[in-house]
Amino acid sequence: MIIHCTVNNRHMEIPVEPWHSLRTMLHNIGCIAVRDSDDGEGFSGSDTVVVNDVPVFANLMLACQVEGCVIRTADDLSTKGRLNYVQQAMIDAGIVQDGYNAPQAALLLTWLLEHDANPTEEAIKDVLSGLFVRDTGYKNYFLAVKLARELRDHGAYKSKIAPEFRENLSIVGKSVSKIDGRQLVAGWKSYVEDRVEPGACSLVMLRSPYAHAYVNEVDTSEAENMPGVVTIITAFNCPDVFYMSAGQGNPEPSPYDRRLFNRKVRHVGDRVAAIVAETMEQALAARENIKVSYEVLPAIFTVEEAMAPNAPIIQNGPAEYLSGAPDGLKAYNMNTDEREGKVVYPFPLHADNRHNIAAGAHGSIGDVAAGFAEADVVIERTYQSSQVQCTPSEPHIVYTKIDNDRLVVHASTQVPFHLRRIVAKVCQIDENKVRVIKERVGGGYGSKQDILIEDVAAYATWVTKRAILSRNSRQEEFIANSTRHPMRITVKMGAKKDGTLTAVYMDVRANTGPYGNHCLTVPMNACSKTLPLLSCPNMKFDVTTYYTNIPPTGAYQGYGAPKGSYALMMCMNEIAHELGVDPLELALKNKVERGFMLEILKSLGEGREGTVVPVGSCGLGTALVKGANMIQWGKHESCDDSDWKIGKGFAMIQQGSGLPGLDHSTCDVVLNTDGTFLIRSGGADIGTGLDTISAKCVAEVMKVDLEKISVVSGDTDITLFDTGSYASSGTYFSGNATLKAARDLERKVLAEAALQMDEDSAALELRYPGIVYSRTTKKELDYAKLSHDALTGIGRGQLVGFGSFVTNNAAIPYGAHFAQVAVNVRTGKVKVQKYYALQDAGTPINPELALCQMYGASLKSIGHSLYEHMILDKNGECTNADFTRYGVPMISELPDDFQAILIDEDDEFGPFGAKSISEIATNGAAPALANAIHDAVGVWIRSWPFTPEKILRELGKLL
Amino acid sequence: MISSFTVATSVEHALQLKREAGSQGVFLAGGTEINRLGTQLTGTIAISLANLPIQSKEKGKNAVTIGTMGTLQMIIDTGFVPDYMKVACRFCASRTRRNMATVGGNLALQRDDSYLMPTVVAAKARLILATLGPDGSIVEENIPIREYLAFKDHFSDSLLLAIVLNKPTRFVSSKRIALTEQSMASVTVALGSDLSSKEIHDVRLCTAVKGSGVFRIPEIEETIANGTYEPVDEPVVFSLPAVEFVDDFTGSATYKRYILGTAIADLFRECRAALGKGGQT
Ligand SMILES: Cc1cc2nc3c(=O)[nH]c(=O)nc-3n(C[C@H](O)[C@H](O)[C@H](O)COP(=O)(O)OP(=O)(O)OC[C@H]3O[C@@H](n4cnc5c(N)ncnc54)[C@H](O)[C@@H]3O)c2cc1C
Ligand code: FES
Repeated sequence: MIIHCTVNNRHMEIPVEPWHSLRTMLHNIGCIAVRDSDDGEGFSGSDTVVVNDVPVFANLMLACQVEGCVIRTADDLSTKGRLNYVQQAMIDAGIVQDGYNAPQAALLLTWLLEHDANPTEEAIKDVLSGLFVRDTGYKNYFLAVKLARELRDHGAYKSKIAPEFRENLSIVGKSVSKIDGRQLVAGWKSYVEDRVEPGACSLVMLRSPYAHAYVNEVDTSEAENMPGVVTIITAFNCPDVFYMSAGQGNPEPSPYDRRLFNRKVRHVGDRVAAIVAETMEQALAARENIKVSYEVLPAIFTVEEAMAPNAPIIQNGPAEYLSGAPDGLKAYNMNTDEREGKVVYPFPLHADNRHNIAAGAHGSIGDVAAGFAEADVVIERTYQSSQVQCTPSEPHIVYTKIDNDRLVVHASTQVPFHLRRIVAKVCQIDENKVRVIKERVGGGYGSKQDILIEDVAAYATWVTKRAILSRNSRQEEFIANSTRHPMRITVKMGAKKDGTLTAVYMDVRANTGPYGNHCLTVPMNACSKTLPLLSCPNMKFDVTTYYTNIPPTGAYQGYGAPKGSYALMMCMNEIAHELGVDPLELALKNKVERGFMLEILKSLGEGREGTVVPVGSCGLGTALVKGANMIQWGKHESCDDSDWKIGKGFAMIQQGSGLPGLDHSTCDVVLNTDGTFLIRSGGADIGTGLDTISAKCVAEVMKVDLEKISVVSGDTDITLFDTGSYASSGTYFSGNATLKAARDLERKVLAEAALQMDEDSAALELRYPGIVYSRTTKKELDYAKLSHDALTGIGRGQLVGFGSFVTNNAAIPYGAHFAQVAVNVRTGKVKVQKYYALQDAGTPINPELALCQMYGASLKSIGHSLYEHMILDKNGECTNADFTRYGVPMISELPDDFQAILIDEDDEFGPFGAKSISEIATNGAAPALANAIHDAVGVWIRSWPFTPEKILRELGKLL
Repeated sequence: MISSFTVATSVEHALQLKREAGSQGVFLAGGTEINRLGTQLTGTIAISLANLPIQSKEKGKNAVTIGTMGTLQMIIDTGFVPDYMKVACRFCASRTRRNMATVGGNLALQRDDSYLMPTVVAAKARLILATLGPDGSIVEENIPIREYLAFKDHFSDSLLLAIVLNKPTRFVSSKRIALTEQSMASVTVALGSDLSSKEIHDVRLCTAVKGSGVFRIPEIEETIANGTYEPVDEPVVFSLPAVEFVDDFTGSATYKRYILGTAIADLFRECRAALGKGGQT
């Protein structure tokens, strides 16, 4: 049928089918900003449009329903490339980060301001209540509206956007518009989905209904003959290549314990077959006709079950070592079933796969036994974290094609170069045959550090030579993705009466699920990003990771630190109570400060010996003191309603800035022929503003406006190697590489200018807005002429700065998070009244983006602490694998008073003194909230999430 | 999946289309249930109610009438609609979804986490609905909402036209218990009573419990009305032998039982406080 309607001021007649959603119709006519992030669940609002002046979800409407209607989409807010005032204000407020839902937010806020010129906070909350935002935590949306009003009414901002840092610098440490903000907020082509060409095939996955089973046969004969089917890949025709999905440095500290498809499925949702067909419908139809014969095995889901004698073994194949093979391997590898596959260790990980142990790490400093012996009080407590999902708005998606006889992978990834390596390995081709183009990433949070769909799609394209789109459904995002490892952490702690810690022991038991990606590094972070907060001389840790049949785990913002932090910081609070010492005093007494030698790091390297370094720049003490003042630590608050009790809590936090000794970033900066610049950075901006950091580094050094600089990043054909965006490495590693490249270019420009100007380069300097200035002759040479003359055929060629950054120096960010909660003793409900995140990020290069990342990470971890939890039934099936049932925080869950504070510390190693910012912000919520709950109602909640039901149980209300 | 779409031109037309379509027919109101991922509705023939005159809200002398095609947001935006009804509409915490979801769709669904059903039952609302008689003529009925709740299947082919909230105002108050505002509710419960005689009487207590359904609780209505109700006090778990509570992702059976008891106790206290204030809610 034909629908007559007005779309973005154009009268249109659009052919539709009765089953087409309004979103399908709009997308088909080119409204690409009408996206979808939950497959039509009606939750997250990526599909928000305005119909007859009312905001609605385009997925929940049939196209047929809009006959005669006037429709407006986010695509239409900008005019001929000029953003509207709301879009501009959103960028400047720092909230356009991953940007996937930014166009919809702009549409909703524009609509709101058209109807209510000066909306209240409540009205803003109301209009945004149907929009899911995971990256920036909603807080600065209020600022964006304020800025938009100022822009509308005065043509300029009156409010301060964010604090500024470093008076001596012109652009670093100041708020400027994020360089990819325009394309993201306007909804222009940016993401993988926007690159898909007509005629691309679709790939869908057949997944296991069982948590643990051998796959004895996959009969694809009927399916293969169905219309449109291009290929079906199973364990019986995939390459016999063992690898693993974690995008980590090579050799990876994870076992190669999987192939593309295995003869054994190890979780509900594990891959059984990939079906590639001309259309999605054909692929889905073919999937229905594949017959699989399973031999079901008993399954296990917890660390305790995995440890039990005679437990079912999840990875029971023979072990192989690429280096450091232990003695007795032959005997170890006896009696295996070929359907198990094998486990290949790049180097020893203290694993014992035939007893479900995926990896282990052990270490200590001082004499822990003596430390406990000299303590006045010793306590031992166990804390449990749960399995939570990253939930990026843009699900995992990849578009693979052949171009110039090479494999091209348009990816939404944090690790383009690791992705290239792993894909090449799986396809059994050389890396020069593969090009990975990192597109804008609609949220990663660690999950896009894993190669979860790119491997299959790339292989399918390589063997069929067809272009293929593969995109996870939201359900697949829950059950076949990386999630936080559930961990059981026992902390034993001893202290003197005055609160001095004498010994600390952490026993971390982590659940990696079916495969061992990140099985060493994530659990180790539970110790390596927490124990170094303490100056205690006697510390020891044991980390053991177990295989089970839960949905896969992997990297998640913060790695293991949020769980370690929860355990360690809670235990410190518990011992403070045992001792009758104020927890704040205990923290101040036992924290590290600048110059303290971090001996513990020696045993905390990721698969190698770690480097011992002293504490450098450190805002920990300031954060504690300032946070305590802000929350009025020590002042008891009460509520008129006696059912509600109020309490306060805090936690010290730290993270790292990349992995010194392991990470490597490179970059080059090209002086274009007209005197502008092209940065080619290997770094992967995943929405956080890394490209803007690169541009600012070059602008600062070369003394030009940002508009003169373009950035290409994360394209393996164009840019040089970078380990990628994980472990909080972006600013420190990729940023430092760009800074080095800029400085190299500065040297080269001065040298070239010296020749062209016939002057001594020592007398020359760069000056704004892009000239070389001679202090002796006062002569000037602008970059355009300089570059032109260098490239005239008689010149000395194009000027390119090169930067390669490796280091053993650590730039550790520190901070403290404080919370005030109200707990209802009759219902168990927790309200977060105040949440203050105080962090030292060194020099915040993009202060407004840094603050928004702190808000985003804090709210995410408030969600993990209070609401989120993947729930498995007895068969291992996730019963809440969608947004509504899973329960992510929305704008309604914002703390009443939410503040992010940047503590000013200049770091000696970071680019312009910068350290990392966002991962660390996930470490504070769980312990700060749990301690606040204890302060309010006297119960220790030692497992995530702190649901009303759990609190009621602890309060003895539920029999 | 919807395979055909027709816009009904009148109530009669809508009912005829539904009769012709049989079990495949589905009235399409806001579409937030019909078109959502994971819906249990299976109808393929959509009968749009968009053009029917059942959207209006009217304030009569003794009653407020709300057309079933009114969206939850329209109700919030209508000044004369009683506050308790607005509170229930806000249980749908997504404004965008409230812009679409209709009263009729919500009542017809009677979900076990229903936003509105407990409240309208507590309010002793009446429902105006139309059915096609055997001879094809329209039969319009005005029934107590509790009847609709009790005999849902009997009305499966009926078209809900309007809901009538009677004045003088009853005390009506409700609670929705969920982990986040947009998580599915484990329990939604509403208490209504007539306070005009300076006593609590004519009590209605209705609850939606995830996994158990929507139902009235007559035994507690009675104890509240006759003054023997004791607010359940901690840590006693509220006993309601007739109802089977189940464990699910919204909470354990024990939790749901407890929290329902607590919510009822809170509503009762509110009701008593309203009595003290002369019946003002
Ligand atoms: C993410 C999400 C979460 C949700 N959570 C909840 C929840 O917690 N609680 C809840 O109650 N609902 C929930 N819903 C469902 C739904 O949004 C609401 O129930 C809504 O009020 C349904 O109204 P509608 O107009 O959209 O109904 P539609 O989808 O149009 O129709 C729903 C049903 O009602 C019938 N119907 C519609 N109008 C009439 C009428 N006038 N007469 C007879 N039958 C009619 C239809 O035939 C259909 O069977 C949720 C939906 C989504 C997408
Ligand atoms: S239904 Fe709204 S984003 Fe998918």
